[in-house]
Amino acid sequence: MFGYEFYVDPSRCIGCRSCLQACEECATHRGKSMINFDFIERKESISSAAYVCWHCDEPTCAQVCPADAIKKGEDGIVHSSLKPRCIACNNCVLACPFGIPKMMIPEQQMMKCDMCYDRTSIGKRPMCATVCPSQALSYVRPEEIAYRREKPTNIFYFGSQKITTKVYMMAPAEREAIALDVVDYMWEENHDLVATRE
Amino acid sequence: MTWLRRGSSEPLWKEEFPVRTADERYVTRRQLTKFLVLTSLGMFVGNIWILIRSIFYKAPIYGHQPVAQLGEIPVGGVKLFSYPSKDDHCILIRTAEDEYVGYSQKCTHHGELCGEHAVILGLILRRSMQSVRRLDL
Repeated sequence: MFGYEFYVDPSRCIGCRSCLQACEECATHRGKSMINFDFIERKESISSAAYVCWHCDEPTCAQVCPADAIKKGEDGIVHSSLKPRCIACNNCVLACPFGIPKMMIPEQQMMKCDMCYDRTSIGKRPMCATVCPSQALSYVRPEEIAYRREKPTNIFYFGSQKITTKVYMMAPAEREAIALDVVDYMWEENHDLVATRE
Repeated sequence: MTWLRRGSSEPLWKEEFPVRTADERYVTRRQLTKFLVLTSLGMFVGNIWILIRSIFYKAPIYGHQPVAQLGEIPVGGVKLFSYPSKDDHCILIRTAEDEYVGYSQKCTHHGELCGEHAVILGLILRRSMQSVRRLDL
């Protein structure tokens, strides 16, 4: 809608957490930040990554919802769970390969990034993209992002599961898809206190 | 109800609970009103049909059939028989020296004795000894 797309480039993130603060000001989930913010290789590095929901074409969170509470709109936005339906079962939290849904315990409801629906549905940018100083989170037209060195991709492989998304990840130009094996990123394997696999 | 569905590779529950809002089927107030009116009309026509059928209905007449000889059943004793067809199982009970009662085994009329001229499945159930004799039971 409106010709804009969301692009996430973790290599640009400077860890300022402006997006977290701005997200809290969004009217659709006021006071609660839906940004997923994480550090990468915290032991060796200060690099961080902020990312939003990827809004999968076939959202796993919605497919596993036993209460039919998670809906994908006609514009491709996967919304937070519907409050009257959500039973706070955590199925979506466990199923999402990106780890996006957040269980709000006081409200007994799953909430997630809905790309500031009150703003993007009328052509405005999401709060996080408006404040990101390094444009690690950007909401621009495809022709604007084409100037960057990295190329956008929206194809992910988690093992044998292929996921295509609405939000794009900036990847090295030669990579058409991003393949992840979650086990490779489990730090426990190399931790001093955890016995290594035989 | 699979014959009502259009050809689909998706299971029914996925169609009933779609992930996409565009695939949801909403029932408008006007659709519900149409459904109620048409259903009421159908029930009205059905009742008229039942009424017409009951006016022209003729109860079948079943013939007489010997069931037991007098004195064959002791007082308090029973005899099983079929009437009017062999699939309609009945029971004849001698409740007193001069009283016989009959029940259908499928419909015992809530367990009550049926009075004079009461008919269940075409069987005259309760008769005095004279009537029994007259019916050649």
